Amino acid sequence: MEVPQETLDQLSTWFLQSLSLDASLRRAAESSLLSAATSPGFPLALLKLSSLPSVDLQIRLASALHFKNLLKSRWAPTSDNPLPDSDKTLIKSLLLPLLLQSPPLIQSQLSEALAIASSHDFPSSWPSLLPDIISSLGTSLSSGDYTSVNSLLSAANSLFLKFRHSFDTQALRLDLKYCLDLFAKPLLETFLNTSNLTTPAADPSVLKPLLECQRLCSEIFHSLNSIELPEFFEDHMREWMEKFRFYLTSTFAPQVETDGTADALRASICENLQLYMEKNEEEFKDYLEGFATAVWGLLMNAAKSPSRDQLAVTAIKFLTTVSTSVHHALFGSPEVLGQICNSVVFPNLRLRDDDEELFENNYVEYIRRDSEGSDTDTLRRTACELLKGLAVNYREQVMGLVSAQVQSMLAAFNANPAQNWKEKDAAIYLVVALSPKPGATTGYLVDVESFFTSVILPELQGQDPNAVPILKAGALKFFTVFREQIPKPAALSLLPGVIRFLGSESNVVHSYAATCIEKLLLVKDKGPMPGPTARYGAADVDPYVPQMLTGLFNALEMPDSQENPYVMKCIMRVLGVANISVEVATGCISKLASVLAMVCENPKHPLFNHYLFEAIAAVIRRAGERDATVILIFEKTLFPELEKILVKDISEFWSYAFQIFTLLIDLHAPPLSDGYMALFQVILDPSSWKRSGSVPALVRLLQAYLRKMPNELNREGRLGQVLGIFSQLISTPSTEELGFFVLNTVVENLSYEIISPYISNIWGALFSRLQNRRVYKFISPLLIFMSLFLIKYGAGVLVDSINSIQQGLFLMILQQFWISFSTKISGSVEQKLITVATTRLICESPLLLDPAASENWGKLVDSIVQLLTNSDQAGADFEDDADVPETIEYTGSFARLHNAGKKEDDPLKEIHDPKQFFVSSLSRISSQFPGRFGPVIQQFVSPANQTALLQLCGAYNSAIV
Amino acid sequence: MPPSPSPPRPARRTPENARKKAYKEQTDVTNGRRRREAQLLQLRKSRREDTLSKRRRDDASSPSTEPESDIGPARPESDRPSSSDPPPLACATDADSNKLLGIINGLKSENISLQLEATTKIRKILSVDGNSLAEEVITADVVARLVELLSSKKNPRGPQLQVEAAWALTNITAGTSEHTEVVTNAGAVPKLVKLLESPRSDVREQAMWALGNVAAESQRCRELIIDHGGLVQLLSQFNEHAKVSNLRMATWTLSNLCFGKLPSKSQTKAVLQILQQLLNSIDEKILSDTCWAVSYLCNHGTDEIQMVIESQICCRLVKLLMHSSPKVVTPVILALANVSAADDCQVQFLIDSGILQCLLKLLTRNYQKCIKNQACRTVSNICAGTTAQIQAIIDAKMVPLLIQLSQHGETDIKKEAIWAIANATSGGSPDQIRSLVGDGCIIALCNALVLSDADLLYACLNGLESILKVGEMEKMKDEAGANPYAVLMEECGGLDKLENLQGFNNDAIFEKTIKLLESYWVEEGSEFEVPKEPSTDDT
Repeated sequence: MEVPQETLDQLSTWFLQSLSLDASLRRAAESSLLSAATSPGFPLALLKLSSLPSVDLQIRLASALHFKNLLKSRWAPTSDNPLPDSDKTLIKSLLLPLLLQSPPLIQSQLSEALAIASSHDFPSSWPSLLPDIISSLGTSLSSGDYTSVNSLLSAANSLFLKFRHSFDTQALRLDLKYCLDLFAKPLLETFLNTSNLTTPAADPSVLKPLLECQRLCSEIFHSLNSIELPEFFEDHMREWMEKFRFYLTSTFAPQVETDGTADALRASICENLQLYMEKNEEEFKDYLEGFATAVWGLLMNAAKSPSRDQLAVTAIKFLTTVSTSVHHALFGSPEVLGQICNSVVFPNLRLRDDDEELFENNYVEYIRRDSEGSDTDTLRRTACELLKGLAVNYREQVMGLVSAQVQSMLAAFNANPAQNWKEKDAAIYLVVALSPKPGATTGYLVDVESFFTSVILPELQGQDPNAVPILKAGALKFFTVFREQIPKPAALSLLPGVIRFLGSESNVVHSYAATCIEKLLLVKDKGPMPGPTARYGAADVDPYVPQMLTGLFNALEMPDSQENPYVMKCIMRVLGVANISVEVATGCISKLASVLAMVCENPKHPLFNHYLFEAIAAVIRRAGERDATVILIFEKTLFPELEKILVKDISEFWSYAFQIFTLLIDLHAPPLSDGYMALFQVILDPSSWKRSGSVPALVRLLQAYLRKMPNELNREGRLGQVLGIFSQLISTPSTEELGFFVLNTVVENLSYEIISPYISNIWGALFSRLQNRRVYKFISPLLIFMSLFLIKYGAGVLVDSINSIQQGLFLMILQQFWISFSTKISGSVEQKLITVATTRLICESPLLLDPAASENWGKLVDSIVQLLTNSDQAGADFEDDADVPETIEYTGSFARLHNAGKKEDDPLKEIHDPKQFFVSSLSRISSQFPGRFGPVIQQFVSPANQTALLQLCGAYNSAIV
Repeated sequence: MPPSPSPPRPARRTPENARKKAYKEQTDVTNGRRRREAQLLQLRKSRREDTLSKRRRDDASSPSTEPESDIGPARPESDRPSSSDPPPLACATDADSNKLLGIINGLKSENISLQLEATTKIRKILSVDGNSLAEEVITADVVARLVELLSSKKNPRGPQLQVEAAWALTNITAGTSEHTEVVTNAGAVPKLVKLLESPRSDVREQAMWALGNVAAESQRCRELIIDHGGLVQLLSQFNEHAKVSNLRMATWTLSNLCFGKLPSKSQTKAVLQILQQLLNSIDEKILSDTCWAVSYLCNHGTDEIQMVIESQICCRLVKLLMHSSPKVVTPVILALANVSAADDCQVQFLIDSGILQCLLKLLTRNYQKCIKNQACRTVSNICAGTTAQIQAIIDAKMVPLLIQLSQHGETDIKKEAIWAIANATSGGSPDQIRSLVGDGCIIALCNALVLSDADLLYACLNGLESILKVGEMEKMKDEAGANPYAVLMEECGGLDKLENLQGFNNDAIFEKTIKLLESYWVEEGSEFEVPKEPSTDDT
């Protein structure tokens, strides 16, 4: 590889400058590098520079990093500016030898580069790679150069990782077979030769690279065995397994034991055992007992050092797998069960020092691990899973052991509470972890009720909210987990205690107290009809509301809890349930407004902010519904903050602000003040609609204005503005549905006289769009709009206004779209609309009652019956249709506020049963033309739908004569 | 009080490595719900049932004693030395060498008595496995001479000589691949095929035996036999005059020939015609080898499966599932498992033949693991069918059994049961899904989310997705507004496992996991938490 010296010098200078503290120098260098990137041979120059021993290490590292990133973005043939094949060929021939010569820092970058290139090219376009690795491996092994051996093995390891997680295909198997044919044997030889050198007593400095080599071999073993058991590995299973066992059962020099080297190898071995249990249970069964004993021996001797944790987790997972397999009898004897519980499970339940640290310093992370299921890889959790696994087959025995353990932990606590509080914490953890989830088939492993009374109650009743906070947190968690089971009076009597903990200085404790109250308010009783009802209503909580709200707002003042989502969520929940007085409501709004003012400065916690707006909406709705006059007070407090959101363009909050405005307008007695009229101008400005996330909220706001003051739209050309927004929205697929929302709102609220001057523009816009967009996603809302239009203004207006665009257009639309697509409409309100509209069309429109139109008439009947049958099997066609729109909520960043929400209006409230409407209308019209429609139906309605129609007539006692 | 939102979930943990932005579903493999055929390249050691047995004929068995038709190891238990001969020596001595010289001279003579005597001695040496003299006998010269003797001229003792020579060759071909190669290189195959025309049944039988061993060797050997008309001759052995022992031998040899893909469709068709008749045999050995032949044919691909179906033997095969011998049931279930990987019509035919009741029995009674495993695979393939077929599975009360197997079976069977559940839930109608959920499918699928098999994981995710979609429909019916199936998943620990899957290094699985988490567990407002694409470059 020849690279001109001046190129290398130039690159060195740039890299040096790119590390400079002077930003302008740095930027200049970066842009020079960027522009040089496309020059031929650039990647090779980088590689060369990074491998020159004479160059400063910092520059070499920068160059290697740059090289790796270049490969990442440009190696793939599908990338924007793929590297030329000539460069790639050179790189492939140079990379491995250069990697082996490099110091560790450079090497790790080049290894990553190798992994990137090989992920595309290996093996078919890089046939020399694996043979080269193997031959270098042989050389390095015979010279005992384990630094190189390990570099080579990690390169090989990166090649094989794909076999672990990829889908099983012929192509993958061909690649794997190629790797197995070449590498299975050298791998075993490397592993066996190295194992001869790893005598437990060897010197740590010698041992460390050897054990690292074995770990890499073990990792590669995993990858190569991931699809199925390869023949070579089956033939040599004994050799592998004996050595695996050796490493699990031997103890090495203290230094490699404590620095984690040996344990990393053992953890990798345990993962292989797990893999064999999963994939090759039968071939593996002869080794199973030996390994079960070895692994469990390892765990019994496990030092309580954190470096052992990863090993312990994988080891316990392996035992858990065995305990639930057909070989569970290995653990079945009372002695073994007892030993596993007492020496493997129970000791790992105790809180560790780093857990305690987390409790104090990072409450968010602690809560996530402790009660939100993000602790799947902690020892505590893994140990409990083993216990559950054992209980699958040995329930009685495990119950006995657990309850004895709980008793002894509690006894230890009672003997010396100050010293042994961790025992009680472990007992609480154990009982919570083993509690069956509601609906689970197995029952409790411990007696929850007596545990609650004797262990949890004293903690909850304790007067000092700051005493032994971890135990208080545990008790609150217990209460929360078992909230369904605790009878209402008992729970209510505990409420003051829980409220007291809102004042705890511990963030975990006041968060748990808030969560406890919040969840309690969600408990439902599965009563008889009408379905589940909330167990705790306003009457139950009202007496406690003042203290609760005081406690909650005080908690928000505590260090690190200013944006505590658990507390805000609880505020939201309380305000949604309780009946609060005007005074309390006003107080809440002013407190919430000041919180809003704070988060507006720097919106960083989406969940907290969401609950905040929900809470605001809850107060407005509940207080405003009872007494509309308070709205004026709320406006006064909130308007400045909400305006700030619009003026300062805090985009995260736009849709929230619009929803709050909507709520205020809905509850407001007309007329609206000037502030609202100014806002109206803002929302009519097309630029307000550019953010798709806030469009749903804007549509609602627009609806609110139209409902409150429909005639305002008719002034100052506002309707023209609205329709401009509409045509802008329907011009892109992502917002077209929203465009229809706007249009529907207009039609629902305005009389035809007002919109008639615009109607030909509206149809024009819709039909010209339809020409380019004949897909369900567009046609469906179009049909719904036409249905709404018909229902609102009559069939005649619909037909005539469309035909005024072009003669005969309506029939064309009817034949091409209405008949075929109306059967596919989903949503019950939508289906009802289209059924009623179609029925009215065939019963009212002279165009369709003309005998010449009988084919269309019959086909429309056919499609109504089809639609009605479809809606009976609701969801029968729920499979994803490529063209069905995703729910809007998930496409943008619109977050609907439940407390500000309004039930979707059904524009056809007067019609309860669309089927009845259809059948009786049909019956009525047929009695006007006796004998006319029977033959039409016979000719144009499918036999199945004819039968369905007959059944419908029977069901409603009507007939077509 | 508005409908209560589902409980909060922690912010999604995203793996540190960033994902490709423009991810495209790999539709070819990620169609989780599918029938699985055993046609992928095999990396495993061949299982017993996949390998063909070669068989040595020991000295004690009379010419018409048929070989032990077993799926057992290649070497049958025939190490007994003949009582009429001196026991074989442990090692070759000078005396042996002299003796061998004499034998070879006899073999080369033109005198038929001497030839017969020498040939008989040779096959006796060869009849004993591990005889040290055997290696010395198997030279190109001796083998070539034995092959010549197969076509002895008309002589009253000619047929006897043919039997002895074929016997010797039979035992040589029962040995290593190299030994077999010596025999085929000596041109034995056309002569052995020719012997199938012999009027004597003992000659034909011994020739078939030798050919059967050759056929067991390799695809090249099988093609050699077929190229020399061996298949046609073999099929003509099946006639009303044939003795049972001849039929047994012919069936065994035929099954070995069927192990590889037959060169033409017409040959497959001709074989199937014979097999169709043989399936009605009451002889267990004939039946077993017939079934093996069918199961081999079904391994060759969709064309062969289609022909098997067209030959209308599936109904009979289904009945044979209830045969008392595992030697029959094993090949039959293997064949049917492959047939069940065909299209919906074929699967429907199996269902109409009553396969479900048979499978139910195979899965609940005390059968060998490999039989249960294949039975479960067949069920999983049926579950990948139409909703009517899924309904048939439900109506057969198969689902509780599948759930039970998915939790307590051996791991292979566990996985097959999970495939079945995943397929059924992915393709079931809403009502069927409700019923499947009622039987406990959610827990079964959730428990499987810890496995490491990407294809199966994807299938489970698809199944859970269908379940959750139906849950959304339930949610609409319910004022409380919670997706009951999402709640169930959460309660059985499935949500935790789903969240952990975000760390599984497979793009399709990652995307699907994220899709489920975001569609069914995102609380109002937390859309904001959808992580932005992290920058992929180090800085």
